[in-house]
Amino acid sequence: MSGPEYSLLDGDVCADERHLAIEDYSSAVPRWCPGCGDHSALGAMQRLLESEQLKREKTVFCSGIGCSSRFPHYLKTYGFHGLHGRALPVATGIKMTRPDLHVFAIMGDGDCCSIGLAHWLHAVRYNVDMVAMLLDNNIYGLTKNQTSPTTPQGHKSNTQQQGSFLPPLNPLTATLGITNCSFVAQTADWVPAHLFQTLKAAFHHQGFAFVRVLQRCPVFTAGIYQDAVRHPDNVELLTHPAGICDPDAEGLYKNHISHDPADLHEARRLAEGGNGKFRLGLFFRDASRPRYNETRALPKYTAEEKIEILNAELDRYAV
Amino acid sequence: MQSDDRVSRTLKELAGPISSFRSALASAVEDVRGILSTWRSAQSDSGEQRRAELGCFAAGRIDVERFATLLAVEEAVDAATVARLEGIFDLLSDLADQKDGVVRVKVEPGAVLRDAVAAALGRIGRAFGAARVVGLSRSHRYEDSLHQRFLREYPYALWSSSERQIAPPLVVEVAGQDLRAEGLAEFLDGRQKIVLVAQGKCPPAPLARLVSPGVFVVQAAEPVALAAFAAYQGPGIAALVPESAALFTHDPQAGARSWDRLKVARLPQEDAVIRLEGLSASWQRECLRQLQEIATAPPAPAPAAAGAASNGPAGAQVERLAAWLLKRADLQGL
Amino acid sequence: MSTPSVTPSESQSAPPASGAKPEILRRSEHTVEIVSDSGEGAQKCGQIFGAVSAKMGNGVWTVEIIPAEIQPPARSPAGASGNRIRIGTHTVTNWGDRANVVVAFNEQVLLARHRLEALAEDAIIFLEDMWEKHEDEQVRAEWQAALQELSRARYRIIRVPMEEICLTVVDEARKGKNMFVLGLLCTVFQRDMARVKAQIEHQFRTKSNEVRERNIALVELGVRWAEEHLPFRIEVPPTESDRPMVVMNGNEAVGMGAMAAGMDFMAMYPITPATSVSHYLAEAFHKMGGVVHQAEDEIAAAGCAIGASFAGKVAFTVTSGPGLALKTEFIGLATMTETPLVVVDVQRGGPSTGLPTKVEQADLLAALFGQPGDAPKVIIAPATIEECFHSMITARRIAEAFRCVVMVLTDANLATGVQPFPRPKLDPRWQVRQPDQRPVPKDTRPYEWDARSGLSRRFIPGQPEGMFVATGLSHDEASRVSYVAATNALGLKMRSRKMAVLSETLRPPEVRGDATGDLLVVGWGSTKGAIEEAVDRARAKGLKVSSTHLTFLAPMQPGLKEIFGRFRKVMTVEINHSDEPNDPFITKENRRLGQLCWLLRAHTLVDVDCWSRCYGEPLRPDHILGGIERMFTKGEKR
Ligand SMILES: Cc1ncc(C[n+]2csc(CCOP(=O)(O)OP(=O)(O)O)c2C)c(N)n1
Ligand code: SF4
Ligand SMILES: [Mg+2]
Repeated sequence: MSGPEYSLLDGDVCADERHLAIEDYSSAVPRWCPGCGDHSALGAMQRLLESEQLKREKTVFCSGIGCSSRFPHYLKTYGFHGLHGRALPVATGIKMTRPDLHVFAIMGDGDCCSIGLAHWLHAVRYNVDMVAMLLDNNIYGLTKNQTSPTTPQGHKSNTQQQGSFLPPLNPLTATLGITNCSFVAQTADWVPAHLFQTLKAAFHHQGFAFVRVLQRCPVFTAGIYQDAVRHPDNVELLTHPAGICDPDAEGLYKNHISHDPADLHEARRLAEGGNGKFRLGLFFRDASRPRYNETRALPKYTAEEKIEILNAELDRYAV
Repeated sequence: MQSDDRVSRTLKELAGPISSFRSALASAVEDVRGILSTWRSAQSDSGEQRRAELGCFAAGRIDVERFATLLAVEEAVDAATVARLEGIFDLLSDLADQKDGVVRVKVEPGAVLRDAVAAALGRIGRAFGAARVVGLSRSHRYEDSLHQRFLREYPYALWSSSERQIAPPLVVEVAGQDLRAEGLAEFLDGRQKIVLVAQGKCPPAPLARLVSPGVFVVQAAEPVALAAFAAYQGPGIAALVPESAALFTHDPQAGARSWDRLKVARLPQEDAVIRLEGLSASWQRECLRQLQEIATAPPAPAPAAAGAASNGPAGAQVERLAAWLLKRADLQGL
Repeated sequence: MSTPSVTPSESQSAPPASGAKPEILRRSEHTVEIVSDSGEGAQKCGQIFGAVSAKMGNGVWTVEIIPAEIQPPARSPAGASGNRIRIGTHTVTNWGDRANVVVAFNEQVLLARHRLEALAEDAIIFLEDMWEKHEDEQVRAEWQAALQELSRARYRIIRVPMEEICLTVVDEARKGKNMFVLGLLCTVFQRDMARVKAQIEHQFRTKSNEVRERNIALVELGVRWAEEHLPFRIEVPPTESDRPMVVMNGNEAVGMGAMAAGMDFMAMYPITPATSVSHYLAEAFHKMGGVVHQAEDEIAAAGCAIGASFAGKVAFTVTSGPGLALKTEFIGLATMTETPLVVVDVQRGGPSTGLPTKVEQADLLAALFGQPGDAPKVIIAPATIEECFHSMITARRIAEAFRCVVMVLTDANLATGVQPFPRPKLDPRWQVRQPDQRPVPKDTRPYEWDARSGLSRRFIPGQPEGMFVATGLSHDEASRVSYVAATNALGLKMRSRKMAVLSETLRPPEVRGDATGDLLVVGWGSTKGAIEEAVDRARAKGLKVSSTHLTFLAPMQPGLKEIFGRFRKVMTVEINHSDEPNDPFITKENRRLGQLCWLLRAHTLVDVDCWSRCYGEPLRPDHILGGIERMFTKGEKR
């Protein structure tokens, strides 16, 4: 709060002090298909905004293009619904110049892991303070059923009608492999309480908090998460006092893995999966990693001071 | 009293917290300038402002009058509000122009240190007061009878918790014999730092009675010793003292127990006390003894419980002292 | 302009000092070139010579001669690297025609300049002669062949044993010759040695004392050699001026202009010749709280800048053609979301690494039309280094006032050219304001387009009650996504309308020369000085030619059609490709034209012609004059 961009006028003397309800954070009526996992992610997000009482005018949701990227339109905050794959650069520019804002980036799997891959990788490395949520339905939804980088091998789509040719990209191991990674969690749309707790932990993390949400798309990838939805045995919950604690999920899922989120090595091993089970929880957190928005923060000067500095600069070039 | 170069070196050590405050101040100046220039151009439709904004490149290329009339007209404001804001702009610019001067205080010999510090904070506080008035004016809640005084003095007691977080450190030059620091406890909140640069002879442990769990307290000979003090994200008080005085550091982050936190580098003999008007030798000795006691671990520390430490004689004293300080510095409800 | 006492063709060794006072050759302007293999420091020498001349009150224009490769093979014509410095008694606006004085570190780089017809017929050439007796037979043969080829011209070649002399002071002459040459040139041109030394101190301020002292010793060697061997001096008298001046290159001017405009966020990805803006800013920007963000690519750079602008700044990004291509989608989005953005494009040739270090006015049409869908925007082209500075202030203001993208097109010529100009008188009102954080009045909408002007008030995150979602989708005044055709049409109309509004505030361009005549030459960007010099010469020859130079290319300045109507012919002069009218297969119908030419034809329906040249170097006045004269000769297939 006392970061270099803080102005004395940011003291919220005239701000709306009334308690905001969930409805106060809602905007347009979501246009997602019935049963779409994005509804649940939106609900959890609204709950987060409400429980944290975030100032609506101080909150910005950035997104790319996709079904998932419609997200900002359904929230009564500021938003930037930009280009396919490019939510993160915009979010980075916002947070770097306005550290007083709460910044969220919402992406689809095509958005984040295909066209926006360079930005994803570098955003993890920059570790700019924000929440990045990947709504992973394993398919291109908006453009109607094309293979995405996370589509399971063999899954048929309009572009790969014989079934996806390649093994899917694993967003968790990818993120955990990137230098300066500071927060990686996985949750799922069908466990809203866990989703909420995960978002909450991500919000409170200082740095780039990457949350992958396993998101059902009943229209194009109806089957893919059903094993986990129907049979809680197929889910393994990462639990730890320093991790994400959600009694609901702990009651529902009997398979618990006690995992200390400080352990990057173990996080990578667990993220690898391999036993066909879905692992939910906090894989890794390290709040001590340097944050680019802070590394690059500079003191501010008045117009007159700037002129003084610039005049000194011109002196160097004086004839 | 001549100002010595320890002051400038101290300012260097404190550059971090000073620059956060100054850049918040600079941002505020620019905020107010922005508000004013929109209000002004809404008031008078003079092309001068618009012309200037467009720069020299526009000369001969852009019809500036036309440009000005085409831009959307902003909301109108009454003249009194504009005048008030102009006053605030001057006030804030003046504070910004004082550069490091804004955080420097010289206490006249014989004056009461506590009052001098209170007055200095009240002066600096005008920046916060001004910011409040801007907010109140924008939201049409400003009332002369209630708020005008914020621009004259804005005492520490009125500062909000976030203002206390961003408050700049204060560097105070004070004669050694006036160095009675106990009264400053009420200002040690948020991230407020106070550095007392003692001139001439001074009591051996003037800060001993300010040691409390969350407050960074240092007695040092040289400003270079203030790096950790400056970086600490909480309140702190330091004194630059002469040869004859005690040197110690109480770093709240250094441990849970008082003897972990308090490191005494030099403890003068109890007979090193000096003759000072109004400060009896036995009182000075008492301060030294207190220091020694807080810094000393009990002979057989109970290995199991850190909490047990507070039951030891030194711990008890620290707790008592802390309770007393907290009571004095109780800022709830402000 | 001829040098008396020319010794034709034969190369000569320097005569011994006669003891007599040297002859003074007075000139109102002179062009000097220093060429070497890359890495031999010819550019540093040229920069110091240019800066000292500027500081003495001469008009100066400096251009870098840069090979495309970092380490081209030694002693190859393609590797010629160095500087051209044109100095004059009055303001110099371009790099001139041919060099009058040349210093060459080997005969191959000299050959390169000779073959490019860059040297005056009577040029005085100082040539390193160590190659004649080189141990490698091949080198000796090359030397002989080169001198043979050069002997066909009337140059006055003065051999200088640079290596031999420098070895008396340094172990490796390769790193010292440039300073020796500096001493030599400064003696020939009677430069103020105290300023030379001061400039060396400045240029090598980051180096050790020892380096500076060695350089000064080398300069003194050059001085001594010149005093002992050269029977002439050249005098280009400076003009006394009491106006304070500054001297810098165009990229530095862009960076400083941005600072003067109060902009404090720049995102970029390195690309020659734009990168040096960020080099400069990396050194200076942070002093005033500015951040240069080197993004992962140009797309991200544009995205970060847009994010910063959305959050209340007016951010900018700097790039060159290939980078501009990557930014197109974001530029379209900034237009659509009405997010202010300044894009500086330091133009160069071609895709990939086409002509990476060389000048081309390559991107006018790409800038204007390159985005998906309609993307009305403002395009400004500064013509001088001074304008590089001042245009940034205007660009910032327009971007903010019109909530639009402003592109500033400079080029490699401006980027690396160095010219003195009056020191700007900085004004706090040039600077961008802090983001407005006042509550938004009830019931105002984020795109509340004024029905006539299309202008609307910008909402900035942090403003209570202003919450909206900027979107690239078709949206209404409240920024609600809409699939209604009429809404889409309204948005397109309003964004376009703003450009018409801006154009209405623009003044018609000035015509240099008579208001009517046979030919009007129209230019844009960095070619202004060369065009005007050529037009002046043509007028001196009695041709009825005038010129006009466009700084606003979108929207266009008004009155063009009327101005064009006053001339029998109109032609653009540009540094980009147009088909030669007489080339095989080229007809009037299929001929591809210069970029401004296309635009002007569409804009005015006047049959505008063009003359363009795309040799990877700035235009020379004599070449433009040739192009002008061609318009007056008959029998062309026009
Ligand atoms: C540059 C560009 N390329 C392609 C598209 C088309 N496109 C829009 S959304 C999308 C994929 C969406 O998939 P995903 O990111 O997984 O989001 P989802 O709809 O599944 O939530 C594509 C290919 C585009 N809008 N822009
Ligand atoms: S297509 Fe799939 S992802 Fe898109 S809204 Fe429908 S269910 Fe959701
Ligand atoms: Mg998807």
